[in-house]
Amino acid sequence: MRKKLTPYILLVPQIILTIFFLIGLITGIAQSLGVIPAFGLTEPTLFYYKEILTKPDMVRSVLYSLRIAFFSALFSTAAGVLLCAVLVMSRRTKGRMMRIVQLPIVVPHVVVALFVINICSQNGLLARVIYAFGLIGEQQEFPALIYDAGGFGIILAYLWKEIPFIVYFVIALMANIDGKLGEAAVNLGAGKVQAFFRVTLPLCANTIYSGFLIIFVFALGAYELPFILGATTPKALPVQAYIQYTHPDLRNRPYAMALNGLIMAISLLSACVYLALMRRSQKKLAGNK
Amino acid sequence: MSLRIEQLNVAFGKTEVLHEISLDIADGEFVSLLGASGCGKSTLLKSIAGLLEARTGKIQIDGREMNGVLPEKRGTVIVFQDLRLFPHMTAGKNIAFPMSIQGIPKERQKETVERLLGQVQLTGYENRKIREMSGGQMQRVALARALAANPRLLLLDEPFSGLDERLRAEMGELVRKLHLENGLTTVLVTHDKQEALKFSDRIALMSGGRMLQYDTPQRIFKYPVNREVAEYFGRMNYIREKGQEIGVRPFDIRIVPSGNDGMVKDIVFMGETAEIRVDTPKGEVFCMLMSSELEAMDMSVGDRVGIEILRNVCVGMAKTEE
Amino acid sequence: MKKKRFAITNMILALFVLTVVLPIAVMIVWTVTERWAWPDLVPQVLSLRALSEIFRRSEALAKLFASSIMISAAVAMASVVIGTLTARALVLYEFWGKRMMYFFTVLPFMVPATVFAMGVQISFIKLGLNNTVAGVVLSHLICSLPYAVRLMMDGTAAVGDRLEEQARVLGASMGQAFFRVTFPLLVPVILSSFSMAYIVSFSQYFLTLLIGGGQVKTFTIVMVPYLQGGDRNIACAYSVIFLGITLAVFALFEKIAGRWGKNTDTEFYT
Repeated sequence: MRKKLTPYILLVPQIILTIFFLIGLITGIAQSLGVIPAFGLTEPTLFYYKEILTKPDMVRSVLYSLRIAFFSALFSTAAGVLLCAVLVMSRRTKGRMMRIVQLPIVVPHVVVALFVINICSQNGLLARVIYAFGLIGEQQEFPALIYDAGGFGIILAYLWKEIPFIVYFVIALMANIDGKLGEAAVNLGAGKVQAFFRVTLPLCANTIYSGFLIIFVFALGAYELPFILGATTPKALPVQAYIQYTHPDLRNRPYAMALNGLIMAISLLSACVYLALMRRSQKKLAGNK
Repeated sequence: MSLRIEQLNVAFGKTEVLHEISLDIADGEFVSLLGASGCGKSTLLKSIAGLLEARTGKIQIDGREMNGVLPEKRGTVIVFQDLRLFPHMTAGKNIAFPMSIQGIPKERQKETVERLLGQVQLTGYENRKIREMSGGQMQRVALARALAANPRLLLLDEPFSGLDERLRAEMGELVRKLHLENGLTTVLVTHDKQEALKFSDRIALMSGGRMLQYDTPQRIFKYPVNREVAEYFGRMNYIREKGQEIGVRPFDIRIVPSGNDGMVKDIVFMGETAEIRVDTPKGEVFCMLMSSELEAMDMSVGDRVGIEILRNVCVGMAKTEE
Repeated sequence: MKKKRFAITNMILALFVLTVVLPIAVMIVWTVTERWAWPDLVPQVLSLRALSEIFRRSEALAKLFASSIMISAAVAMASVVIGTLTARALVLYEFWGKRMMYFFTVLPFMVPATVFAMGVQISFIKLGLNNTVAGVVLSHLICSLPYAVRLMMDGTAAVGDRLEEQARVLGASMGQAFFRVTFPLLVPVILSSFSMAYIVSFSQYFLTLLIGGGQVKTFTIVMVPYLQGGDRNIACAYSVIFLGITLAVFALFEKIAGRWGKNTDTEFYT
């Protein structure tokens, strides 16, 4: 009996925190359905979801956020995998090179925003270098990369943070597979590069997709970078949600929650895909042993 | 210290792994739990030590009920098959561990460590790191550490299975020596019948979570309760004789070159011994003899020979000691 | 042919190192820059104004230090402790509801902090946790914990309970077995869990803004107004100081973990 209780006792603090977390989620979902008893709203309705999916500025927010999240995830993953491949093939998966890879993981997003302002603004170092080469004649000729409607600066900031994340996320597995199976493939007559593309990369695929999803979900829901580097319009989903949340008219609160609900729905969908991928890759790798 | 187990049942989840085990071990006895892997002998050991809880049944040490007593309060020390030396401690620190838990003064710990290292023939290895030691040395450290805990009951869970034959025999001798020198009560789990026969006062043979027989080596060999027990200790012939089937061990059959009971089917030279198969009207008989005897007989495949049964095994007729 | 490929890989790596290091270097230069007008590539006037301004208000700095680093350290500490307990339960025991519990522990990975923060604020207000350090720590903890749990689960699975069983039969109580055998072996994992939880907490902006309500000052909360106000020197100086400290602490951790790894035989229990 004592032994049967032990795991539950160990889990007490975790369960308390989980309850807090679930309260947050359930409150959010209830409010997104227009149930806020304190404001006298008790009838559940899908009205607010309909609104955010039809109001032009809201729809623009949704598309803007999806675009930023998608391109950040896509470019980070592509560049990260390329870099990972280079590191694995040049046998630099440990030591000083990995220190450089880990560095951006430690840097908060707020500081990354500062980097982007320092380097990529019209007054930044990049504009000056291009001017020095005579490619532009004036400061204003340098394209606006931050506070722009395309969210270019935001994507750049995510790239700086997330390319190393992908390397960090994939490299152990890739080095392992390349070390074992890559050798076998080379032994069978494949070129080193060929072996990488035919053997190593396909076996890492599920982990790479998972990395993509993690970045996508994160970029979709994160507030800092679009808040600091984003344009006045359109506004990213979390920024728009926060504006509605802090709106003096409390009846706007359900809009905020509906926007959050949308983020959550996309996140949870991605999470399910992530779990399915992880399970599949576990099976795949186990089958290869 | 004496141990008494009565009708012990142990289960993992819904599957029962030990059924109705009863066992009595007297103070100072050396008992082997013998059986194939997966027969539940390690589970029994863990139950005795309190690492597993019994579903029903009793475990008593020195007459004291152990149900609900924590592992650290039982005085039963296991030396596991995988040794489980603490990798972050030196050999000396490993051996001192149980003493430092008991709060024994550092000086006395040091003396005991030195004495125990001497007993296991590792004098001067105090500061050696675990990963710098060979398999045999690690076994010795594990034994010394178990002794340092001053066990009322020493439980050995196949601790020599990773060693080669020579080292295995050596470690067996060492355990037997330590058992006698320290006046221990010892339970050895093994799947090796030779080891069990050689060192034990009594052997408990297990299969499928049940105790088949518990007896002295001589008696369990001579009076097995059933065919399974008989066959665990070596191959058996079952020959119909006077309307009744009798069990005979291969060494208990003498080949008589002048007789005419059957035909030699096969002769296999095995070094010191040799195996001979003889086809008889009663079925194939498998016998063993010393190679020197075989040479003296000058026999070849196809010869007609006689067979003589020297003694038979009384399968299922054992009167178990109570 | 071979040389050419080496040249390409080296170029890619050099480009990567440059992109990582250059922004950090520029930030360091900015902390001592007074005037850096278009279109020069190097600052015209250097000064220690930003640094001295920060250090002149040393009381404010000390306070920020205390609140920011202490909050993250407290979060990291709590994450490690709870993460260790949760990992033990999930790895070493079989019990009813295990899969569901695992799902809940990793759920915060999948739901953005913004969503959670706006949902939970009303409950925090009711409990009197809003605008308090305790509230910020609690909310950060919920977001940092999954990282610690993940890492601790790997560590706990690697160490297992075999050595603890051995310690128990040698006379150690449950607590003694954990602290004298398992804990020393977990130290490297504990340090990386701590670092990870610390980073997650330290990087939080939105959660701190909402739950702390501007009352609880952390590094990111203080940084953002400078960033938006355009006082880049101060923003850079703050970043350099705080990042410097974080990196120094992590480097120390890594050293300890490395030293520890040498003294324990990791191959032995794999």
